[in-house]
Amino acid sequence: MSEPNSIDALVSALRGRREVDEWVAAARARSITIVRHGAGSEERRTDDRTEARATVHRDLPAGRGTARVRVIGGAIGPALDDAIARAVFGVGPPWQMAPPAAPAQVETSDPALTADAAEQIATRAYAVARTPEMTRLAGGKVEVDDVAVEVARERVDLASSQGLHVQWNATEAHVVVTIRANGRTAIARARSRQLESLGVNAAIASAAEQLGARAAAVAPVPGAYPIVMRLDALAPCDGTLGVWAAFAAQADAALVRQGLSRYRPGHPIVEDATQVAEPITIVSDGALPFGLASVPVGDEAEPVRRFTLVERGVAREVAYTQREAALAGARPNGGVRNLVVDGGATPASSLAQGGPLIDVASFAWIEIDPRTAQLSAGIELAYLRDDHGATPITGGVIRGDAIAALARAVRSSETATRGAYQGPIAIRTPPLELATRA
Amino acid sequence: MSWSRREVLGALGGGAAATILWGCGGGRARVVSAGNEEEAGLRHWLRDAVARLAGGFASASALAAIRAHTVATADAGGRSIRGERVQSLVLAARDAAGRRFERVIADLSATAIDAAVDAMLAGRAVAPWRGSFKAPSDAPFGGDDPARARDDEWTGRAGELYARAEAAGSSRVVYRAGYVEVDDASIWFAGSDGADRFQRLVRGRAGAIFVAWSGSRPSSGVAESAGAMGPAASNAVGDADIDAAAARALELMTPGAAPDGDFAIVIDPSVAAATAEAGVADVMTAEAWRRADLGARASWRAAETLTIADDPSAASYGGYAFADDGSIAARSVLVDRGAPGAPLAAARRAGFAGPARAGAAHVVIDPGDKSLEELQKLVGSGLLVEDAGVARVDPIAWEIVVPIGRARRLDGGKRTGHVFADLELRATVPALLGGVIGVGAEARAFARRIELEGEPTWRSSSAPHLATRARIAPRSRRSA
Repeated sequence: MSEPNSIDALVSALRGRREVDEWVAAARARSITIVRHGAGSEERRTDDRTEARATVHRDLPAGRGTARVRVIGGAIGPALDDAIARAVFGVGPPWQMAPPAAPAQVETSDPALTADAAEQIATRAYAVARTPEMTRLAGGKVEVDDVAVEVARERVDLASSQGLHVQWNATEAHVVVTIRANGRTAIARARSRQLESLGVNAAIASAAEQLGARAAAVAPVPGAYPIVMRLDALAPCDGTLGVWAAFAAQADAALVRQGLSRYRPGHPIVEDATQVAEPITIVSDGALPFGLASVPVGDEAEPVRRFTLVERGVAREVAYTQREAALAGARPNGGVRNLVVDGGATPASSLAQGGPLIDVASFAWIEIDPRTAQLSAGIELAYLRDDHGATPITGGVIRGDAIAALARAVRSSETATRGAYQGPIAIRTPPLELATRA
Repeated sequence: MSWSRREVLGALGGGAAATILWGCGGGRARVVSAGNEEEAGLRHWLRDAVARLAGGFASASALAAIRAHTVATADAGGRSIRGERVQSLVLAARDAAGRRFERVIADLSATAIDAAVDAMLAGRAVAPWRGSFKAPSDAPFGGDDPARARDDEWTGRAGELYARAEAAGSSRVVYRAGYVEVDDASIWFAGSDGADRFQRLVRGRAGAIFVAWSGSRPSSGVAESAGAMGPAASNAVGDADIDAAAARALELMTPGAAPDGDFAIVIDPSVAAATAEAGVADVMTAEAWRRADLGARASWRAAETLTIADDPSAASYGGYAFADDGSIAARSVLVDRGAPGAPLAAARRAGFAGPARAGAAHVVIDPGDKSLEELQKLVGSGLLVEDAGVARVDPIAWEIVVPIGRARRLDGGKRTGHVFADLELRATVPALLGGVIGVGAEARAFARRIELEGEPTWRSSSAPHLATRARIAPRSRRSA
């Protein structure tokens, strides 16, 4: 119950402990403003807390003992004492941290995202939802049920026993707008580190389109269809990796080392991945400007590096933490961060030609089995495109092998950046199963 | 339950270490937080803060928490341990116009609390508060105290579970691990309605996990015990549970086509609990129910044999004495003998500090009167489906998809011995629950610690077997 823990206090405490052989410490001062309007109520919330965390390593006859501690509020001292004592009992093989390397140069902070920006974004969301364009898309007058805007600003200081000391600022805005028209509701979501690229207008337009289309939507007919996935399906507005999460989960060095992953560096990600017309290339880029997963260094002081996960259909590198890198004789790379996917040669407008196919505007949810990369995704809004035109459909589940589907997909030549994704704005997969409850 | 190593160790923050040190001695015992001066004063400072805020607002409250979280894991790579201590104070107030204001800080000193109150009152007319506080109400923890655990006890217990897992199964098991995870939280609440409450919530989970290859697919089994207990949760993991988890990971599947179609089914307690949590409790919150196209469903009906409730007052992993909005724990019936009840209102805050949102703590399907054999007979020819994964719900269509670890074929109410893996159950929630024709007499409990942006929420559930009808289909059909 003392003052917030500064990086200086942490470094000073750790340097004075001879029994600690290596350490990483970080202090994160975070200020979050949340503004919420809805159902006749208003809410304004501020959250100002500083987090201190440390990883301590002790080299013992039995191997390397490690303990991690995180403290918010209260003095770090007693918690550090605990961690240092407990490290003796958390022992694994001996290893050492990689020599310090230059942190990634990356933009993570937008000065335009001030605490006052939350109120401004909320006001703008109301105004956008009530424009004639949204009424047209929704097929009726649009009402706003709820707007929640969160703006987070943080300053991070990270230091290690090897003399590394990095400071950076980061910002992030997260918007959720629930709109209503004709007795139906839809939720617009947007998330970004930058005000300019937040995309609230586009998110509300997408939700309004969903409301309009759902009025005429029919239940899907089960079967196998080529699937066109648009940006909302490829890079969901909540900032997650969507269908691409299959690659992030599989490229875990510990899983690969133990043979618990499908991913085998040097081998095609699926049998014919190198033989398709446009073999896929995927890069993890932790230095993508304003990428949601961008950061100069990892939690364990790993330098964040751009590395190739898949190169023209062949698995290349895996995500290395300090420990996994040391055990594998490799260099740590800060883990899988933002994903950059190469664009293809086909215009997005051509991908949806030649039906019948399912053109997915958005998924209600996406589930990727981290063990098998099996995709299961609930359709929020899609269109069945066939000789009769485009029929909106909702409900139903698309299933299949995510890695195989993405490896064999045709990718649009146009690309976009959103959240933690940079890549094609649309893809067309080979037939996947569309299942329904019936 | 089907957890991968990545999910388990990722969730627990473990995955390290080599030499087993259990029995090597050492380690101090220490009391983490009991009885220091600031904590003794905290109650008074919260009352002072609420009294001051209530002078400027129509209502006010203060929720303070000091929580510790410890995770220890052990596997072939060694042992690991991680801990955190988090303090928070949420000052909340509502003005006469109904606008809500909240301020969250981590410094629980009198000076910091005063400064936070000053900031909330800035620019407001403040009058003396005329209310008073009722007698304090305390809910201490009476079980094994994690604050008194020795340093070596955490990894020791995880190591012991790992050692027991090592003795189970066969060489086909490619991964084994033991884990212990305990949250220990002291929570104080004061409100302008006169409430002055304290509770200590200790929530523990311990278990062993197995992963084996079944053809080209990893197959897992987990033995876990969880509840309102400290590190001694590991004592409750029985040898039979560990053997059963190993057998589950090693179970050989029937070759050939997996079931794909509409089936009469018996769903095991894990599937029933996943359905009740995701399909009912998460949809029937006051917040979700406000949505025009969800609230309109108040006319739906489940089978008359079904009663589903959120019961945080029950001794359970997710339970509590009072919610994060200060309301006393009370059973809230969501489905009463088939008829929908009122939506959930009790508010929870992730990590006792996040925004207040209505949410369930301990979801219960009341047991019925049927044995598993009787339920199988009711179904006749169909499937017994087991081991739910994380259920997904499309709230608009009110459709649920539950990953299923196993489906056992039933014929004439008896198991034929055919068993299939990696399936999913798909249904609309009203059809699944409206089609229930029998409810099992014995319930099983499940615990989940859900961490979002570093802030945890704890939830448990308890459910029996149910006989009903749904679409069952394989998850792993490769059509791309």
